[in-house]
Amino acid sequence: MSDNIIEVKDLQYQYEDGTRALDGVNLRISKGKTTAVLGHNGAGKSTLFLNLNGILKPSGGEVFYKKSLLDYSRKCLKELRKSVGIVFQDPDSQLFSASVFQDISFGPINLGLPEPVVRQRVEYAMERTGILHLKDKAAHSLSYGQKKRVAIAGVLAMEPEIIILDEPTAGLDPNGVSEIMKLVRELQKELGLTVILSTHDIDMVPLYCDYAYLMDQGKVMLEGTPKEVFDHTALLRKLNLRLPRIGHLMEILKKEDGFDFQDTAYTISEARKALDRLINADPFERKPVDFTVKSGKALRYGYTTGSCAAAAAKAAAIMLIEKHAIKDVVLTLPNGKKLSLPVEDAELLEDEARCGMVKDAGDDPDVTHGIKIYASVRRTEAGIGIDGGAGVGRVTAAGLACGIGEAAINPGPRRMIRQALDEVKRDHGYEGGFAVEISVPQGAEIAKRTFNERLGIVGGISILGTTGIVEPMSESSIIETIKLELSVRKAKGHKVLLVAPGNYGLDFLKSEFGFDIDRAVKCSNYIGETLDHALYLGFERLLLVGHIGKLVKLGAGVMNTHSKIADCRNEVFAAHGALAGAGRGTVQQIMAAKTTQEIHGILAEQRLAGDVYQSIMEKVRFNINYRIMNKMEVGFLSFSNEHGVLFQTENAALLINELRGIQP
Amino acid sequence: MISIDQYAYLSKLKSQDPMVKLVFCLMTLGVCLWADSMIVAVLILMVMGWYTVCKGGIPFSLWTRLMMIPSSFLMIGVVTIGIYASADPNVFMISIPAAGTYIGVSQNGLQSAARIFMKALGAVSCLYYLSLNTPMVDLLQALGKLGVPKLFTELMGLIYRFIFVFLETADRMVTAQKSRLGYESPRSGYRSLAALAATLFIRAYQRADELYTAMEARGYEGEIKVLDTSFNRDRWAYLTPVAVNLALAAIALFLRRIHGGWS
Repeated sequence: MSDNIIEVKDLQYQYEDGTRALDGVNLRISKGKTTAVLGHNGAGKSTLFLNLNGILKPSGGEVFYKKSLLDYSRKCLKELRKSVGIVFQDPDSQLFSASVFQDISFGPINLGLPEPVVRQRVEYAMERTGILHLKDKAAHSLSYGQKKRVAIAGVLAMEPEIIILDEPTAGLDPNGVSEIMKLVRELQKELGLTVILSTHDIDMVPLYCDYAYLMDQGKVMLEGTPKEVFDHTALLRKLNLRLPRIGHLMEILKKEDGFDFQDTAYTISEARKALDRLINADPFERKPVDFTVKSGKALRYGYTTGSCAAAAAKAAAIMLIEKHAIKDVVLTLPNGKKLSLPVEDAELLEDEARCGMVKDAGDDPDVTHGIKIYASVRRTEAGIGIDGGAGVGRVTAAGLACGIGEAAINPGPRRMIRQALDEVKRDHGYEGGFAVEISVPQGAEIAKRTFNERLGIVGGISILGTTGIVEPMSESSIIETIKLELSVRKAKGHKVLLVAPGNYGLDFLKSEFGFDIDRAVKCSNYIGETLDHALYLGFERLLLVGHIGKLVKLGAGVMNTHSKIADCRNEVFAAHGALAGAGRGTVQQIMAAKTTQEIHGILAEQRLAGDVYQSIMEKVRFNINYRIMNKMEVGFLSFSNEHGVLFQTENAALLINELRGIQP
Repeated sequence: MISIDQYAYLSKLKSQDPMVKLVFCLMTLGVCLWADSMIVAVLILMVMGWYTVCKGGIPFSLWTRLMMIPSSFLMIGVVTIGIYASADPNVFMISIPAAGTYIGVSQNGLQSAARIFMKALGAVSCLYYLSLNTPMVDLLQALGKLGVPKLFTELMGLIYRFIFVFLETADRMVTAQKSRLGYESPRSGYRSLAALAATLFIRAYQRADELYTAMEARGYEGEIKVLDTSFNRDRWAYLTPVAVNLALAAIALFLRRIHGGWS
């Protein structure tokens, strides 16, 4: 910028006691702009200001005002002080007169102006700073903020071109700060003033300042727009300064929580823009990586076992090449977003590196939540080999994503591992290959709680995940509530747990058996989870009472009866109908039926209803017992509103009696 | 003292030309001292009280309370005039013998004591009229116009301004010391007071330094030049003080003729 009203070259200042307050300061102040000088106490800001106004004469260097060199002659000084006004930090040190009016008139009178002009200027300065009503007040009766305004008016009345404000906001309440700064901004805009200010109030710098100098020990360490200065976060912190709060928040959101902001933001409006850009960029980026909002509650995203394996592999590979342990690793997810994960148990051997990742399922905890997934990486000639070690399942049956004999690491995670290692190769210019072994020490144990064995995966868990992140469902909170209810029943000492999916079941219990329905736990669609947790809590017996439309799904092994999961009612009826001897036409009719009521009619007409319900009941029993591994006595009863009880297990009646307090 | 200052700013006579008030005060003071009459003094007390309370809007209770302050001193002072010792008990109205002589009160003594008492109160009421209705700044301005050297008025102005700053500072420091039990015992009290005085002196020195720098930044070159507060210049405003004082002087002369000479 060529329009520098003040230019300072290699300014040196040494106090009489030998303190070097300024040590080669270079400064260019642009006309009509607000320039902030930042730095902790004793950085040399105040000394610099006194040099700019000619109060102090530098021991070296030059000060140019409007391109002409300051020669410290009397005339030159008078001219400079007329043009460069300083408002000092403590107004009590500036206001020498008890009369507000007289104090403000001091400057213009010293300029040798005629009385009418002085009077006019004083009035104008008071009006501009909003203190006309204080004209006849005594200085000592004013508040701190008012004194500050009087001090500003006292300088303003001299009609300077540059106004220097030493800590203009110090000692003011938050409202006072914004009022003073708005005033300064207004003056600057309307009168074309050049403003230089020093402040410890970092938050206001990006709001009100156009340019900033960062000083330390009498030197300028950094200069630029506030944004440019604050972007040097590390240096800022080294000099015991901090980011504006908003900037700090944005930094944390980006670093810790994975919000992928394109740019830094230091004011509320900048932050709003950055967030808006992130949210409205494109549909895929609509939600930030770490949070999703379901039914008004923010839920934390987690990441999959696949992400853990890939991150661990990447970290181990970096360690292997860089030959030292690392603390964090950044993983690129399939959607391009980045996830920063802490590295655990880093271990560096001669030709192998190993480390682990803690799996965090976010707000959707599953069996793998909190376990550690390890990767050990060795160098190879070429290519990337991936294998599973201890705790990672082996595939023994056909029809799965991985071939027989392979480790149960799905294609998604394999892709992520390869991509992560390719990144390492690219970043480090490594030409060779890697052999990766994924292991999960707790895998074998955990696998018992999964369906793996049933699927033909033995010896451990599967490494899963296509997107790399676990999107939490609000379901988890429902399940949590159900679990809590179960715990309450358990704590009350209930031996038999009564479960009903919904209000149908509860109403039926009440009308048919005169039950106190408060005894029952409403399990919604989460029958499987409810069974699991009841087992976990150690209930001995459980009675499930549900509408046929729900319970029939259990016949197909569907343990979450929500229709978005599966609607297999017709198929179950059709299959069991066929088993019971229904003809093709009947099966077709069943398949075309809209409701279980309609199906009941069809079966009744064919006199198959009894057999079919019996057969379905057996299958339901089988699936339930499979789920609970025969470790709990479960009875169930199914009904329809029109026909009452359709089927019930042999023990159901006993359980009902027990629940009603009738001893057998 | 702070309350007097505050009332001066609230006074209804604040906007009146301080010169008029100063002239009124000094003239009346002069008449009060010259007349040396109890009746005139009482009249002055009433006139000045009326001006201060009714015209200036100073609360009567405050005015009486302020008048009580010199009264208590005066009481002690005039007692020594009213009561004296003499070997002749006949000069006294009432007397008691003591150590071979008599101590008592005579009619003359009592009269002169009362006269002096009232004269002093009258004079004080003149000064209260000025100080309760004129802010210091205006007074300094008027004093400057009367030809008091600039050095004095400048100094008085600065002292006046910084009395408040230092009172505030001292007040804060005392509070801070008290909160740390600085005045729990006489011993710690002395120590705290010493520390306070020392710190206050250093603060004063720093303030002076800062003030000088700040004034220099606004073009100070050895003389404090400020714009005087403008007041309505009205020559007729002097009419009341002059008329009142002429009347008082006439009364004084009349009384003197009745009583014959100065008494």
